[in-house]
Amino acid sequence: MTTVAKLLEFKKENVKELASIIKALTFREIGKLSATPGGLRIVVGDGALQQNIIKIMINSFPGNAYMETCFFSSFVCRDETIEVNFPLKALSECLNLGDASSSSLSLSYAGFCEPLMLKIHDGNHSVKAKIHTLSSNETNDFNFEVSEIVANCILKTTFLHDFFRDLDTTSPNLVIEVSERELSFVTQGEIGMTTCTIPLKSLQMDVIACSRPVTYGYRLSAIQRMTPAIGLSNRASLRIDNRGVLNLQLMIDHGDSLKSYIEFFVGFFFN
Amino acid sequence: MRFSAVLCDETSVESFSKFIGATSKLGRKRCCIRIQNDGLCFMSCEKLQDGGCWFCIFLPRTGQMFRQYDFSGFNDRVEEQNLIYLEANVDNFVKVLKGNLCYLKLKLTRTPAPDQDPIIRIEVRSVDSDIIRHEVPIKIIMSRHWSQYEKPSLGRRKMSIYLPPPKSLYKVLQTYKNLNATVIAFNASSGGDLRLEGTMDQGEIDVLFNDLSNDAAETDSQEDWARVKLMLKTVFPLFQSFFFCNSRVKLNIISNQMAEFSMRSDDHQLCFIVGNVTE
Repeated sequence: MTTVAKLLEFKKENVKELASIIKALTFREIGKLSATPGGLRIVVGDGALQQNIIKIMINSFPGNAYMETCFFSSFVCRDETIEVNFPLKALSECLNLGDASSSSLSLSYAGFCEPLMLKIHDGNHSVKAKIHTLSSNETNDFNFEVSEIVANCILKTTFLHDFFRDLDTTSPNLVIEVSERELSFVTQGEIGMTTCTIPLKSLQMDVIACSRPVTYGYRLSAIQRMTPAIGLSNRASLRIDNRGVLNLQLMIDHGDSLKSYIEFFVGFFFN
Repeated sequence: MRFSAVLCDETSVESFSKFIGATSKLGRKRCCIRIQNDGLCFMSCEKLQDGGCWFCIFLPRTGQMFRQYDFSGFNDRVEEQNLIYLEANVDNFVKVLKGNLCYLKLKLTRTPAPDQDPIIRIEVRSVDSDIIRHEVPIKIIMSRHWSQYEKPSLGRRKMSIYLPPPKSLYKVLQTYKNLNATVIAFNASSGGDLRLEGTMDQGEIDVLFNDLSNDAAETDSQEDWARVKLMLKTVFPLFQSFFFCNSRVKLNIISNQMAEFSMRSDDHQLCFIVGNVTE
């Protein structure tokens, strides 16, 4: 009897690395798994056609020069593009069962209407899971054009995480102001106005590139969803385009030159 | 009938509070307290029904917990009757034992009115306060009703296996709970394997533990695998209450009928029986 080859199969050592990334994205019920032979993305959309949409992706490309330090120990995608929706919490909880550093994961997907099949080995126990999938739908990709970027800041995330974690939750919005000398975050809540500024000369800030000063406001509830992901990351690239769409790209350094990325897009609320 | 017990240090009182807390999680509003010569038992008032449970938490007087223990039962001349059975609302004890207490005294006390049940007088003290006295109402159970609190008989054809550490199982059950699973199948093999199966709206998760030990002396089942399905909401509080314990839990499965979880250490013994769920 011949076994049908799976459309997508990958293996990963140290399941905790993937578990913490998925957990940071589990603020919506459904995520989209999007795979190509070049790598894997997981997209979490916040509805469509509204300005406070968030889109988060993990990009991880095993086909680069550092094959021995790939995020996945093996990765096979037998189609040009595979897209499937799945319940995020189910995947997050399964991955959480592999918390030893010696744990390993294998995941496969056979195609339309088939479930995600997971196997996790973790020292003294093993997990077999079947996660139902749903058909994929269109998500807003924001058309974030590199040529239209009006502000770009590259910074470390230590201070950024502390600040985001302590955001004044009575403020409905977060205002981001970028000039060629500094990046500021402003909230206005019950305790008053809070401004946090990271100047270019700060050790946290690497680069500010700003063609003109910009000020845009974003829904605080949308911004807060980034906080767990910022906590996992080492560096951030914050960009705003001429439409006011915010793009925050976070780099997670797993060591041994192994990196993965989480990216957020947020539509502005006012300027 | 006579009973009083004293606990004199923070560790003992904290342990005692944890067991009272466990009693309130495992059972319903009321529990049965059986006071006997060798210790205290907190027991279920419920009968074992489809998906229901029976439990007994025994705190021996010879452990580290009790500094003083004085007891005389219903009829101290006959061993089988040298017991006191009473029922009480567990929450009354839980409320009294809040805080960092370093002293606890329990005493069965008559009330002035002759036709009223006695009460349990509880004296507690924390490091920075004086003694506070509480009175918890109880109901004495007559000896003709004692049999209704007996441990359900398990029957034969048991598969007996020592489970992984409570903390590991608690984490797995927490996962099932987070995904709204209702029924978990426990499968134990004669070769030391334990497999948990849960089916949810979002999919299915099976967890397999290997290299566990069977209790050959207690196993009288001829099966390779024994299986029982239990309500997660019944079995989860057991591991939620005892995940801090280092002692191993033993599981006896009578296929498609019931499961018995038991735990033994110097300061407590636990028996928890759950009925199979028929879907």
